[in-house]
Order: sequence, then structure tokens, then C-alpha cells
Amino acid sequence: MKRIICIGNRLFAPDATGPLVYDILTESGPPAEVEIVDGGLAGLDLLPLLGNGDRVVFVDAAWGLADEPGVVVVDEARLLAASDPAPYGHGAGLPFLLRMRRQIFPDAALPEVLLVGIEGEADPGALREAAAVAVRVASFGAAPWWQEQASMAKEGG
Amino acid sequence: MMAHRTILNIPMNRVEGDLEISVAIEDATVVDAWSSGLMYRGIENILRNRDAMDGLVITPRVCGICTTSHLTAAAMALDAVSGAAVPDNAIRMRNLALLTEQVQSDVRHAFLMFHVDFTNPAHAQAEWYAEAMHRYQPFKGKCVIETVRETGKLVEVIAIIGGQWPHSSFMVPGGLASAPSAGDLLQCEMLVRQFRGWYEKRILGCTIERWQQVQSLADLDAWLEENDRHRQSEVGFFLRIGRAVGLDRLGAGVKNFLSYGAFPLPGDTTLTPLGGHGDRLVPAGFLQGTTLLGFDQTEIREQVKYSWYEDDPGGRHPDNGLTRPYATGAEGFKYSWAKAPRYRGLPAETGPLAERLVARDPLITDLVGRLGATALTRQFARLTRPATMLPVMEQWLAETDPNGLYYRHPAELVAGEGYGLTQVPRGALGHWLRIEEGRIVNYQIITPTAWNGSPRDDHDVRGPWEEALVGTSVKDPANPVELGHVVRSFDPCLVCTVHAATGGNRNPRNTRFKV
Repeated sequence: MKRIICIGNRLFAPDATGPLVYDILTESGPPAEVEIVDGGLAGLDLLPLLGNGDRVVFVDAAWGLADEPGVVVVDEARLLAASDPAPYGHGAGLPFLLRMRRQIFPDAALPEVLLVGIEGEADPGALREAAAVAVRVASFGAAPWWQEQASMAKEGG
Repeated sequence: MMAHRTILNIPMNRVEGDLEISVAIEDATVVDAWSSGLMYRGIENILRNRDAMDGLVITPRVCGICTTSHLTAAAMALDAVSGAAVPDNAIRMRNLALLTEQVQSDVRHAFLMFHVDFTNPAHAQAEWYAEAMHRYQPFKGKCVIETVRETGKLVEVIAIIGGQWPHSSFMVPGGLASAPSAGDLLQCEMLVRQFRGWYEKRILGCTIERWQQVQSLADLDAWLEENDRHRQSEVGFFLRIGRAVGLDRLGAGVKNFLSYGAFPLPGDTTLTPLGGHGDRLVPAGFLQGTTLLGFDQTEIREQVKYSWYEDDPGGRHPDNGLTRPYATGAEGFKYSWAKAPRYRGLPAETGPLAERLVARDPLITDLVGRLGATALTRQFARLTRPATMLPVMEQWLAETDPNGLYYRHPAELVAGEGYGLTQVPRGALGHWLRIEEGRIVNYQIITPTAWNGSPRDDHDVRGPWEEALVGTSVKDPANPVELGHVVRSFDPCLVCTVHAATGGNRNPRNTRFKV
């Protein structure tokens, strides 16, 4: 099972990236093997969705995860390394969930977790790209996308 | 000596959204306090001119924590406008979902937020500190891990009833959008029973039946000394360290208590109202000191003298409420995006303590009569509320007929006024709605935290937790853990601020992740 969880607040533009990508994904009809979840602001209540499956891809706005604006893909280790290990609050989110899930599901084979974010402005083009990247990394993992990005950067440089 | 006003950045990161507490300290004692909600919400204006039903989808997203609470209030308001007669089974399922949210929230607030303050280095020399660390240390504490695991299972009840998770919008005017199957109900029964088993073992250290025999402070002290299971339970440990810390001397508040009442009783239920009167399980009322008065929602006003909205002397009832942000021209005077709700012109505390006092719960009434409304009694009322509500959940599940009626078609939503008032995890929640030509022309929400965390009103009277902070001794202004104990005893919840996945190097004000 592969799962894409779009998170954010559609009522607050700077935080609406996840919900807007969710709309694109549901309208375009994702592959049957990928489940699409409107994670909204659900926080800790998303934990049951992190205890099973092969891969979970979160989609959210991103700040400071890339040097350039655009779509970025990071893995769990990078996400945790970049986050403040703050204790739980009502605003606690993905890092809290990731830190807790190994305690909550100690014996389970946990799904790989990736984040597809949009650094900078989430314009329509970036949103469509993020939707496509989310489906791709949910299906095949992040490695091919990272390799492609590295090749493009090399050619560009 | 002149009061030295200190802006204390107490760690309110365990509050939803931005909250800043400012206190004036003189001789190591708080002599004044100001509570500032630092984010404009604007949901009322977002809803204006939308379809009448949109509140069912939009208002659950007011908050990432209390989505079912807002869905309940929104559905009740639409029930009122449409004159819906909600079937008994649908009432049970609505109540069950809201109770699930309440019970999980009571426990999460305790062990993921309030009790975390017991691991503050300020308490490091206490003889109980190592045990508190063992139980409540973030990410590692035994009770923290168990709480996340057990509450995570319990909320599956809402997913089962709602048919979607998260952000379900399964309540509609007239009942539910879907009916649970017999298998769904069995699953819910199992989840509630499992949670009850954990709650009895870990939180109470006894059965709920034994706990229900505790009806006074004397009973409570006897229960505590009865055996080691009671003393080592979370309730027992809280009583011991709460008294050691001095929570019983902190956070008195305004001594007015408000409950809107909650959980309509199905016509065929065997349950009776707590407190013995009314048509809801949890009664409505206003307790002024020790005098219990009936509740009349027309007595509510929202005042904005100290809030960042256009001045409106006297305030307004939410039926005629205005939300006109006005953040300039009064810097240094207005200080919060929260309005100041008042009942009969008075500030009022709401939450489990108020709810149980209004219901004349014998244990809580005796505790407050002898010890006062304090951080200790406030948190105790929350921590032990599930002992009352879990058997109710079991009973309503047992009474629910999977082949029964879950929806009655209501009248068309063309025009009218209505409100949905209920008790939610943090207290009294109200949605007021006016519809014309099928569109929303006015939607006003007053949340529990608006009551508890309100700024001063038109008569310069402090809000409840502002008042509760006054008189608090602060040993170390650099680590004012006492203020955290007081404010968190109200279970503060301001609305979500801007959040995003961040590396922490772009926008220093937003260094948290969110979901």
C-alpha cells in the first residue's frame, strides 16, 4: 500500500499547499494502488496512517528545505534532522509523529516516509508538479527523482 | 516599589496557535496580566455569502484538534434553522463521536501537555522528579507513549462512525450522512472497552465503579491511602505531586462558571441527566460564586474594547456579531485578536471544572468548596471526567440499533436563524448562524478559549486566566513554570498559526512543523 497524505490549511493561503495538491490528485484520478488522504490539520490523529503500508508521502508547504524555489523531496532522516524536537503541542506535526511512531509501533515494519514540499510560492505550475512528483515518489520511491534532479543540475551547471 | 512589567515568553508552544502572556511582577508576585491571541482567524468572514451547508465542511477546520466539536455545533445550528427532528440513533452517534473527541483530548492534554511541566528543571530537586521524568518525558515517558497509542486507537471510533478520516463531515441537518452497520458498532464497542480498561488500570488504578464511590474530599483522601495501586495511578500521582508543587494554591480565576450543556438525550435512552434536570446529559447553567443560575444564551455579549476590532461599545450578541479587524490606531491599548465574551456582563470560566460544577457533581463541588477553584481542581476535573463519560459511551453504543433511523429529511435551508451550543473538550462552544436565500449572511463562533483567554472587557475587567495569573508567585522569571501550570490548567487552545515543513533557516518565527 502506498499512501499520499496532503496536509495543511486550505483556509490560509500560505499553508494551503497540501490541500490544493489534494484537489489536483483527486480530480486527476491517481493510480489505483495509491491512496490519497486529505490530512488537513489532523495532527496526532494521522498516526494510525503511519503504522502500515510500504510508503507514505506527505505533501506540504516547505520553508528552508531547499535553496531554490520549487518542488523538493526529502526523506525522513532529513526531515527529522531539520526539525526542532519540540514536545507535543496542538500545533505539533510531522516530526512529532515520526518521532513517536517507532515508540507506538515498536515491532512493526514501518512504511518509508517522504515529504514532497513546495519551497516558495505555490503557483499553479508548482502545484501540478508537486502532484505529479508525489504520485511518482509514492509509486517508485525518491531515488529516481533525486538522480534526475542531480543530472539536470549537472547539465545546467 | 513600582511594578516592573516583564514580558515573559513562557513556553506556550504547547498551545495551539500563538499565545503570548504578559505579566507585571512585583516582589516576585504577579500583580497584573494580559493575554494576547496573536493571530487573526476570520472564519466568520470566510463563511459569509457561502452556501448554508458550507459550515459543515469549513468550521471543522477552524481547529486541528476539535474538528468533531465544531462539526457538532455547526450541525446543531443547521438543525435549528431547518427545524430538523434528529432521530434517536443519530443523536447517540453524534454524542458518541463528540464524547470520543472529548475523552481523548482530556487524556492527551494531561500527559502530552499539562503534566510535561512536572519535568521542568525547576522541579529537578523534588523527590518525585525522577518518577515524573519516567512518566512524562517528551517522546520517551511511559505515560506519553501509552497515551499516544491508546488515544490513537480510541479516535478510530470517529473514523468508523464518520466513514472518513480525518476531517469527517458526517453530521448533517436531520441526522447523519450514513448509518453504522452492526459490525461498525461492535468495533466501536471493542475500542471503547479497550480504552476503558487502560484508563482504569493506568489513570485511576481502580475500576470506574470503585471510583464512582469517591464523592468528597474525605473520600478522595481515603481512596488515595487505600492501596499502592491508587497512589501509583496517574490520578494518585497527580494528587501527590500537584499538592507538593502547590497547584492547590494557584490559579483561582474569576469564580464564575459557564456550561452550555451538551449531549441531547435520545427519547428512548435509559440514561438520565447529570445533575438530575434538563434534556441533555450535561446540563447548562451559570454558576456565579456558589449561586447556580439558569442559562440564557441571549445574555451573551462579545466586547472588543481591548481587541483588535473596530470599537463597538457595549458589545454585541453573536446573532448580530461583527468581525471587523482593526489593528491600527490603538497600538499599546488593544492587545488581542480574541474578543471578550461576557455572560450577563461578567467574565466566565468554562471547561470540565465549570461543567461539573454546574452539574453539581458531588466530588468536584466538595473539592471546590473546600479547596477553591485552582489549577489542581481544574486539572483534576479534566483528568477524571472520562470516568463519568466512558460508561455513557458504552451505554449509548449498547442502545444503538443498526437497523434504526439515522436521518430525517429536514426543511429546505432557505432562510432563518439558529445556533448550536454544546460542551466540547475545553468548554462551551457556540455557533450562531443566519441564512437568507440559502446563503450565510452571519456566522459567529465563540470558542471555549475565547471565554477563558479573553482580554479585558468594556469595563476593564480581566479575562479568566488573566485573573487566575494575578497573585501567582514566580520564583524564577527566566523559567516561570508556575505561570505555565496556571494557564495550562485551562487547556488553552488558540487557532492554528502558519505552519510549514521547515529547515528552520528561512523564517525564524515559524520554526515548527505542523500537521
